[in-house]
Amino acid sequence: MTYREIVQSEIKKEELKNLWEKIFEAYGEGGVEQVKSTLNERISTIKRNYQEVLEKLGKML
Amino acid sequence: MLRIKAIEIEGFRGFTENKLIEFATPMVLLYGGNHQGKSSVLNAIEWCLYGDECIGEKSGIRERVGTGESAWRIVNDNIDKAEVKLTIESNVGTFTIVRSELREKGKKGKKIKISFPNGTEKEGNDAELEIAKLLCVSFKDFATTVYQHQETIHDFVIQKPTERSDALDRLLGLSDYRNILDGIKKSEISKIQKELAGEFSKFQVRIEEAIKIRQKDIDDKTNKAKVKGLEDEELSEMKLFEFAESTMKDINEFARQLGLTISAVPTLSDWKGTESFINNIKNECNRLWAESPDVKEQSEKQWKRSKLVSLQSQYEIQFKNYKSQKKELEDFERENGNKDGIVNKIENTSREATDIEKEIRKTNSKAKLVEEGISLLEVAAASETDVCPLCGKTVPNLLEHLREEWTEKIESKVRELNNKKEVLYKRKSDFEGLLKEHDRLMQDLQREKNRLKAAIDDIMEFLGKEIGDRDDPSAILSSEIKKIDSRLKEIEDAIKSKRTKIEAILDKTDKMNLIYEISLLKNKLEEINQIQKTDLYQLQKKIKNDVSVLVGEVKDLTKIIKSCMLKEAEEKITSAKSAIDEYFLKITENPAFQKLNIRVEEDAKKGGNIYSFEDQNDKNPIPILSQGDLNSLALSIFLGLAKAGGDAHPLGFIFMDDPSQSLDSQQKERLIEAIDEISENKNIIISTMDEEFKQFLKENIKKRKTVFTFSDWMPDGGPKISGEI
Repeated sequence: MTYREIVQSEIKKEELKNLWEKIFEAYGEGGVEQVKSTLNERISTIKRNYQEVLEKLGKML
Repeated sequence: MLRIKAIEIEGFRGFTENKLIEFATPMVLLYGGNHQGKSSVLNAIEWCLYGDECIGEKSGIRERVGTGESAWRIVNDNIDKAEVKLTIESNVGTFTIVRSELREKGKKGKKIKISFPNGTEKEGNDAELEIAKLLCVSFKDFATTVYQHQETIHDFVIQKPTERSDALDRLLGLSDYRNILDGIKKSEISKIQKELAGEFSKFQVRIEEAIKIRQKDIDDKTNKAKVKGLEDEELSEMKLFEFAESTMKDINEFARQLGLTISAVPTLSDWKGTESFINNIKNECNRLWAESPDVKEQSEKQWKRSKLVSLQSQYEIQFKNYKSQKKELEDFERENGNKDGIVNKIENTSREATDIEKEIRKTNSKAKLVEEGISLLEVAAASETDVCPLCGKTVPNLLEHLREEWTEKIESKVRELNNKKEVLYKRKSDFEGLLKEHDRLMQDLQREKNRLKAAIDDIMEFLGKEIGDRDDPSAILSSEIKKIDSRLKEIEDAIKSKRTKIEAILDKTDKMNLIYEISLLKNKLEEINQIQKTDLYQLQKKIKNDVSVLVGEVKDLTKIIKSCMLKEAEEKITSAKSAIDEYFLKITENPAFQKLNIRVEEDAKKGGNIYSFEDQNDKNPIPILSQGDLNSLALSIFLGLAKAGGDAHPLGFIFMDDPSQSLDSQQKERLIEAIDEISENKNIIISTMDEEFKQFLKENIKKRKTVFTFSDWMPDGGPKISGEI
């Protein structure tokens, strides 16, 4: 079994499987840096959304 | 079982010219000094089989990590194309794999072709798939069980625990796990989670501050309301409506008293409409005030009074100017006479001057005669006494006498007359100056008179009546002003009372405004207090939760990856354990060691695995191992894995690159024994620059072997290779 399959076989949760697939793809495309970028992109989007919501909440004050 | 039969290299790394190396014997030794191309032969085989998989960080080989200028170069600097042709023997026949790459052409410059024993060929991706099928070994497994890289030995021998564990992870083919964990670690997920938590805390602080500010504003306004006479219980919406009703009554009554009606002012039905209601009331107050007859009259009278005062002031100024101008003329005439008098003087003076001129002319003509007489007498010689034609006297020297007479009487007379004439002309000029001055004064006086008349005309126009010459306009104006003042006084009280009523109405609206503002603030405060119940707040919570979920998932995944990595390491070590132990004891033959155990556990701090070693006494032997022993350990692990995984794949060869680093002579000999044992089942290709090791190999390996010597590497020619079986 490849390392991909090994890790996949250990994952029970579906969301975790998706995350693993994304990380695996990123690693295949661009190695360590791509893994880092992929995760950063995801969290940055969330961060942006959060800041927008906080800004709107701020206006209510 | 696959075995390498031959390799042809051209343009690959240190190789420029085409070189053919045949692996005709079970053991092949590539011998030569540094940078002669020995390792490049092994790299060429590797590259031909696996292409780009053996380059970059995924290869697990650090020297191959890099981009741009620091990239591990395939194509020789002096050649545009690298090409490697590998001939592989199998049970079913001979395969040929040809891989090539053009410099700086990227994917387009890369070609791969496989030729099958039956003569068919495949190229491109199809060829890659066929090669993978043929080999049945991933590059990772190849690098752990087939190709012992010198970097592994080197990292082992260095003795830094982290380097060694890293080397072992790579030796065991666990680089991908390590790299992925590295990528996850480098990401900012946790950092951003903390940042968002920080932002939320700040937001909470802002809420608290906003509450404080609103509360303070409410307190301030409440105090103001108290000053206005409002009690706490009156600061309610109910009171607002009461005030609104009362205000409407008051303003209606006010309008009725004025004999006016108010415009349609919408009643207050919702407290939020208070601002608009107040504005309407204020506008109505302004309108009623402006339209109130008393106020109108007052306004009109005040305007009229102002106008009268202005006219009066204007008149008085003009009158004063006129008087002043008149006086100036009178003073002048008193001193110099009127115009006629001055004209007379000028005429008289002119006449006198004319007379003087006549006199001068007469005298001048007499002088001429005397001059002629003198000339005659000068011509005629005269010694007798003569009679003077001028004075009639008998004089001794008539000529001299005439000269004297000329000088004294005629000349001086002319001079005197001229003086008189000058005086007269000057006097005339002065009189003419006076005349001009008189004219100017007359003009000025006329101008002031005109202005005064204009001022009086303005007054007549404003008052709408005539003012005679004997009337005093200023007095008339004063009288008018007095009348107005009297009337203003009369209407003042009525206006005061109206003003009081308006102010009372406006006072109510001020109170309403305060109650309204306090209600607004209270509402806002309530909103802020309820902010946590809003959808937006819940959304914020959800997003924060999403972050936590993601962070949690990444943590869980990291755990799993680490666990898999650990498990794989354990499995591989377990499967190769006895072989590793055997090889290690054999190669080192250190009496201190009878047994070697390798334990692996997770490196909680850095990720990856930590490897520890135990001897027969469960003690860590590493501190007392020499560099040669450490090298032996690395080699033992490789050979152990190669032996354990050997039957799992069809590759019938292994490579060893500079395996004798740091080994002493005995260790080298024992290593060769181990290699000899392995060579029962596999072809061995060894690259070394170790002369002693080479000799030991030649002497102790019974099997047929070929020694290729690499030397005299040149940039344009590559290495010189000579082979000897």
